[in-house]
Amino acid sequence: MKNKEVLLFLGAVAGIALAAVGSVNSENDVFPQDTLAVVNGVGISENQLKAKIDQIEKAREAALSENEKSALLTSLVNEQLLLERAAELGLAESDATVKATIIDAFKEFIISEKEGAEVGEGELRAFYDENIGRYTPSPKYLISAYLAKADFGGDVTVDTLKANAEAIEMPDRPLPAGLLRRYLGKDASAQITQVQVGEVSGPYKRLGDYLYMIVDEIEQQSPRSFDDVKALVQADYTRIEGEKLFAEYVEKLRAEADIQLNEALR
Amino acid sequence: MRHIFLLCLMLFASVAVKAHSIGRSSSYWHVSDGGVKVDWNLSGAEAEALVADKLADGMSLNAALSQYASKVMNITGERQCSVEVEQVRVKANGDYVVSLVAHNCTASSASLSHLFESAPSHVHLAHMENGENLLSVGKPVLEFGEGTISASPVEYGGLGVFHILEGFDHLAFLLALLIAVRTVKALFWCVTGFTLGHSLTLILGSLGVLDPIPEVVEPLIAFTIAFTVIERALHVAEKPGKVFVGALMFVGALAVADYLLLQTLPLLVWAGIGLLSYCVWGAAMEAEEKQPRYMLPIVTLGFGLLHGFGFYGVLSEIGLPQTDTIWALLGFNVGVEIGQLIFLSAALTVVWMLDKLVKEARPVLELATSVGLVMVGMFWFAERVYLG
Repeated sequence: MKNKEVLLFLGAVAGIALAAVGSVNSENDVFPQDTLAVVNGVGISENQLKAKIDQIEKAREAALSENEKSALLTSLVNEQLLLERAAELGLAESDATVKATIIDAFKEFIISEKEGAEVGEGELRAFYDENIGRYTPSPKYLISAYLAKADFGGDVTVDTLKANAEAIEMPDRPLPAGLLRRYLGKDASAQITQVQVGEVSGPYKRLGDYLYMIVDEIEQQSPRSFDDVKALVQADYTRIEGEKLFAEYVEKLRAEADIQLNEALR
Repeated sequence: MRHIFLLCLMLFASVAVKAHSIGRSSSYWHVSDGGVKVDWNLSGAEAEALVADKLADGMSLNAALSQYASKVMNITGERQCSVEVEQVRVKANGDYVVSLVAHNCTASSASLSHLFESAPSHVHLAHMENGENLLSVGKPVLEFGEGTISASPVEYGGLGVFHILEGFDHLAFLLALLIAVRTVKALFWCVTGFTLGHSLTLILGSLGVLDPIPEVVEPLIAFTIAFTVIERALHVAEKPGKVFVGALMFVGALAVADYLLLQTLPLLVWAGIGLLSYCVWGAAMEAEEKQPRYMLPIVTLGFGLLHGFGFYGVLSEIGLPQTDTIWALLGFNVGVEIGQLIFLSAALTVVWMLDKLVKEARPVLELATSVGLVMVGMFWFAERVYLG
């Protein structure tokens, strides 16, 4: 072959090679191991898809078909695209709901680190003893109440009330403050825990009349035993420890961040 | 005048004929005592083709597909099961998935005979939990039962034969080769090169080593048809320089238009087309008529690589069985070879008979076929680049 023919031959081979190479996707080369898809440079791993499949299969108690699995991958790709677009639009900063959801999710994420941790019985008992009030039912109150047409002031005696006001029919047994609300109304029932036995409390305005109440008896309740409330103690302990962890995490972020407060506008 | 008439005839023919008329689809079956769930996958183009009459009546594609699917999927057990379409959805790649269910039905078989009646060339691969079944007009029934099943290599071989004989673009390329190559020896080397090329890319694509882009491969396949005939024309033209410049300018214009309008083909591919055209057509223009053409077998090997990607496209739409994958793949490839041989033998027989009967008809026939092939090739090329 002459030189020109050789050149043309090599050119033809190179032309075919270029066309063939251009006909093939090159994504396979850039896929990291176990990556099922790359969306604008962000990988979706086989584990991500598997976790999603497991979650759905568990919920519906049946295996997913190949098509459903493929649709799930499509939905993961779509999710990623939507997330990217949301980030571009600055939804995390501009939308209060998104912002609150992200913060809540992050808080949950931090707190969840404590959820799986083993807690010893001794630690739980110590927590129970320290917070015994949490596991003690509220006291019950036996109340007398009077409805007066006039305001007798705050220093009124029981006898004055009995003589000049109408007694309200009340339950004859001690009840928790919450249940007494329906008889006394919001304002009066909120004050019950502050009133001593035999003391008159009032007046509280009620539909143009004046309500007075007298605490006749306070029945204190015993704490529930540790064994009865162990699950509750554990949940409280985990939550409080998680919140402590979250507070520590936020403190750490604050320590690392550059925060400047404008004192002039505070 | 006669030539103009032939040109027009070929142009109309090229518009009317679609390069591929084999319909294909696949399905995933989940059969239990309580009923049957099936997801039927098909490309957007196939979906539109199957319900074309309903679309013409103004029905939406989803509604038409839903109605059609419930009609063609007949599931039976002790009695005919009632089949409902749960949903029709479009995947990100434009394919359609029709999900059907047959509740409270202990099914023993399913028949897709209505599908094959309305689309006799349709081929369907049914994936079941115990294997795969290749269904076609000759085998429209799917039996549910125990034991592992697998679509046989022979069935895939049949599919290969069917595809090449129905794949008019591949046939057109073979016809172009017959026109471009003048001796049996040269034809042997060209066909061998083509076979090696398409076998390689079909296998590499099917095994997931290469991932061809159909939007690029399909126009290139069409281009190979026109390209091969033009190569021959440059050998015999009285003024090859004009043909050379004209053909290169035409390709250049297509490249510029695509780059400015759509960018269907990557610049790398356009560069390859340009370089290939310049070198092969340039060599053909300068070569003597009787001089051995060493370039063509290499070019056909390269074109074989592109056609192999096309074969892979067909196979990937149907799918390969999970078991005996290699055998099914080989079966398909052997089928393609058999189909090729059948077509070449038939074409050579026709040429031989014409030579015997009306010798003077051969030049006219050759010219008409060449012009037709260039026009069909360029039409398909432009159609696939600009219309998708």
